Amino acid sequence: MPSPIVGIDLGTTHSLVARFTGGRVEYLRNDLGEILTPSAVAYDEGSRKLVCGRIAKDIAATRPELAALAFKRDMGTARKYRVGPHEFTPVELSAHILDALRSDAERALGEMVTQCVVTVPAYFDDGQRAATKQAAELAGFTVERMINEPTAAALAHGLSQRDGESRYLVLDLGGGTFDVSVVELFEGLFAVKGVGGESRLGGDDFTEALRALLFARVGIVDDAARAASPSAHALATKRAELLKRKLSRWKLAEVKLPPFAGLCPETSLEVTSDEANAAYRPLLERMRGPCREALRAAGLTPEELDAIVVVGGATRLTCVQDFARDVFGREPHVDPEPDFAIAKGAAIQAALLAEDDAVRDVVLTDVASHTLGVEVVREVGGQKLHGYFSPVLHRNTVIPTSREQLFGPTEPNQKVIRLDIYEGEGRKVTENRHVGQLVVRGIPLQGDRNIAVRFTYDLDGLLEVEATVVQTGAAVSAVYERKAGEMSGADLERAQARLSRLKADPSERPRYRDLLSRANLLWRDLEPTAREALASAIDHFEAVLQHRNPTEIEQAFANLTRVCEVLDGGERY
Amino acid sequence: MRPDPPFSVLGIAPDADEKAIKRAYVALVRQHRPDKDPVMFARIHAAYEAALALQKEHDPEAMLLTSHEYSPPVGPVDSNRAPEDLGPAEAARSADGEEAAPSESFATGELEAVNFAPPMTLEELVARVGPERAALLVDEATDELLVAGSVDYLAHELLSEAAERLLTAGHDIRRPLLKTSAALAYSAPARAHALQDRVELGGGDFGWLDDRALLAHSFSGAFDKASGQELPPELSRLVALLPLVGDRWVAQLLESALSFARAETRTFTVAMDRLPGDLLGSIGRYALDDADDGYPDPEPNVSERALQDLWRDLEQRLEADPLNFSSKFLPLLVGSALLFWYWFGWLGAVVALFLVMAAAVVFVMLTDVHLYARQVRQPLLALTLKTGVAPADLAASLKLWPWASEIGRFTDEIRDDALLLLTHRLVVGAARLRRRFEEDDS
Repeated sequence: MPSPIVGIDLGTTHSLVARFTGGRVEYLRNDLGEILTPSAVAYDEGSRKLVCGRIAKDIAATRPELAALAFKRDMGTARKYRVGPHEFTPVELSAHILDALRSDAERALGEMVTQCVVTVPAYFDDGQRAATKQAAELAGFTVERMINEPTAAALAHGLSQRDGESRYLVLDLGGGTFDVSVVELFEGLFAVKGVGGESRLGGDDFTEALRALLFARVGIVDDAARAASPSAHALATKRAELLKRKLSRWKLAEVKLPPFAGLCPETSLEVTSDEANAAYRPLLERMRGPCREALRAAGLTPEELDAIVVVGGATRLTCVQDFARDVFGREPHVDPEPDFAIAKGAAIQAALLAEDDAVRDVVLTDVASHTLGVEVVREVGGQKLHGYFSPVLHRNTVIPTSREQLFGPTEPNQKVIRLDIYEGEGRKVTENRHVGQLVVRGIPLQGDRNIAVRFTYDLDGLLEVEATVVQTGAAVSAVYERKAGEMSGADLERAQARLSRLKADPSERPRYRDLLSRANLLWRDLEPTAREALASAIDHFEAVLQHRNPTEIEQAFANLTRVCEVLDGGERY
Repeated sequence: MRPDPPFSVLGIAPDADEKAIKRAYVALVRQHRPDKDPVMFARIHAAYEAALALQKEHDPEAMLLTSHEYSPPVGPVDSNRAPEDLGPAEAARSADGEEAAPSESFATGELEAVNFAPPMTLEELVARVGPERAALLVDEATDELLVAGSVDYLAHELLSEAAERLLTAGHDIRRPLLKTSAALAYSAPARAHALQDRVELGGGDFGWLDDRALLAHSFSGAFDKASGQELPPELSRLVALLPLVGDRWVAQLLESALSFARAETRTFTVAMDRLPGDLLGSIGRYALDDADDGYPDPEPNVSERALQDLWRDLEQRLEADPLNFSSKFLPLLVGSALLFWYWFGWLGAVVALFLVMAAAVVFVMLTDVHLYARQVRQPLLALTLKTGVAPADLAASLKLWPWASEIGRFTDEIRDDALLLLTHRLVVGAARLRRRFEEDDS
């Protein structure tokens, strides 16, 4: 039997793995028995190793300086995250998550997992996609395909009714990214007609808006609060997230803002859903543009759509559903499992690649989400003006696609041309992102001096550029270099070695440490009497852990779990 | 290279309907999947799009639908999609792999759905659809063209003779004129004035536009000067839109600018920091009345007197030796000097003085800078907010404590606070403004 290809949704806040088997999608559980693994990496001071998932997220809530969250937002940038004593790039952090997902998948399936389909936001640019691919390679995966998240969601949504004909719009509001795709489904063909999105807008922003609302109520400024007490700030973020979840169900909710030394004492606040919605409004407004963009690219009006599908965890917010209702004038279809839809789509894509019989009739076409082009010099009234953007591949072109355009030198004696490659919709290159460059040497000095530049955009949404000197017909020794921190082979190995050194030993039983960190977190929230009860349970568990007697440990584990559940009293959602 | 004849690639009759085209396409794509056979897929897809475009062309009803029936309100952060991508005739240019060369049959499709967009001149437009509809089309297309960055094209066409004829004949294109003029006012003042002169041909009162246009221009101008770099593209697009929009949009604009600011905090802060105070004030005026956010309200029209009072207060605090330096160190200084003089003579006294002074300096640096900073922080912050003068400059013009260089660090902090407060207020103010408009609506 061939080794399985798994579908991975590498999200801003959560990641998960799924596999298509026997005509349906199966979600693989992690070590803690959960499907969703928080996309968090933290440094565990006890073992001096890196941990990820739920444990890391809990560490982040108490010791934010030891953890990195939401690093997907900085994919493809050179930004470094400080995790305890180490510094990591977003690629390395993502690799760590992917590595954990891989070992979880291997445990769940009982076989080696090396091939995967990874999802990326449709609005990710070339550098961000390349970075994601690199992260997966760093984690030991072969990336069979990268697929756009809303496209995956569209696959997941439409698979069961694929024989019909419909057009729908997928709104994907995840933890950190917002994507819109318009998809046309026609007798098994899923054709993405237009995309739009924003790579820095997601559920986390809603949490932050709520946190800002809370801070404004007590009259403190976010950055001042963060400076005053990072851990209280992290706690406030966690409470704001809880509040967000409560307010999407109830009209009124109470929240306790932790004390900030010198700024404000511990305060109990009541927030109504109307107030929260007012705080969300700027974010919702930002969602309008991409929706219009995608519709316009597809050449459709809202009335022509058959359905609005909302996916992604953040779409649980009622205000997002209201937004969809408001913009498109109809009831949106909320996926019953909004967190899983993207991984499901990724698994279906994996099945397509594996030529699974259950999806033999399905075909998927996607489009390029950005315009790609080259910086050119324009001659205007005898003057040479630099910095113009000459598009080669237009966005919303169906991929894979390839297009050639001719460029020439600007000076009579020029032998070398540097092609700066940009991505974006601006007329001038300063408005666009620089994604890489290509140096063409050996241009003949006489005759037809054109360079044919061929842009190829593959199904992963990655760009390849080739240049040929037309006159000589020879492909020029030109290597397209990606700008955003692409790692060479040696760098990759070094990063791999570094990560494996810091990887936690699987025998350390994450679920014990997870319970402990959860209990410690809970302890902070409790009243004095409850604190004592919890403290004694924690102490007992810690003592038993020293003895290494499995049955005793399991008993104490069960005991502490029960205590936590009782004391938590519905605070956990 | 001409594209493949679409219907023969798809293997269908030229009069096939949309469903038949799609069905043929899907069947072919199943055989030549995009991942397995990309070259063939590209050919099939090109043929499919061309066939659909041709089919729509023959179908007058479909034609109407794809023209500009759906034109949503253009917002500041809206698409920057170039308008030339819109027409159905463009569908012929596709993933063909070669230079796009739409065949003749596609060109005829443009007759009905006329769009005012490059390279069409205004003259041609008028010739094609008549003056009345031309004026309408120009008006409709202006915002989109401006957003797409085709200001130069617009200006050129609006300054042409055709535009003059339209105006003198009483067709109203004043709105496009004004908008283009406002968008150009900073980068090309001469052309902006010429455009404004044209408006007078049509007459009318557009006084409301001035204020906002002024704000936009001074904003981008000040930003360029202050940071030595051009406005970041997102902001510059927003700023270019400022004069076009009503107060409701100003609110959204500020929100967008701020969300951008949060993403690019560093550049934005650097630039905001050096913006002149009056500009911050004028941005503030749009958003900042009675923000009850727990901070002293900014007073755009703060009286000279109030300012002086504040200034005097600050001066007094600074003059009153906040560290009590003399009472703390004078006895120690005199005592140790006397003692050392008694033991070691004059040299000893000098050494002792030196040592004690050094210790005092270190002590003060370590402990009391914060005390001092806390004392002047609030008034300095308030003054910064009211005048818009950077705290470092304020500190420089005040009589400062002797170790003034140490102040640098904390004036930076005050500046950051001031910026934070301003940003915070802008958010609150913008939200409030928006709310008010919504209440007015309902």
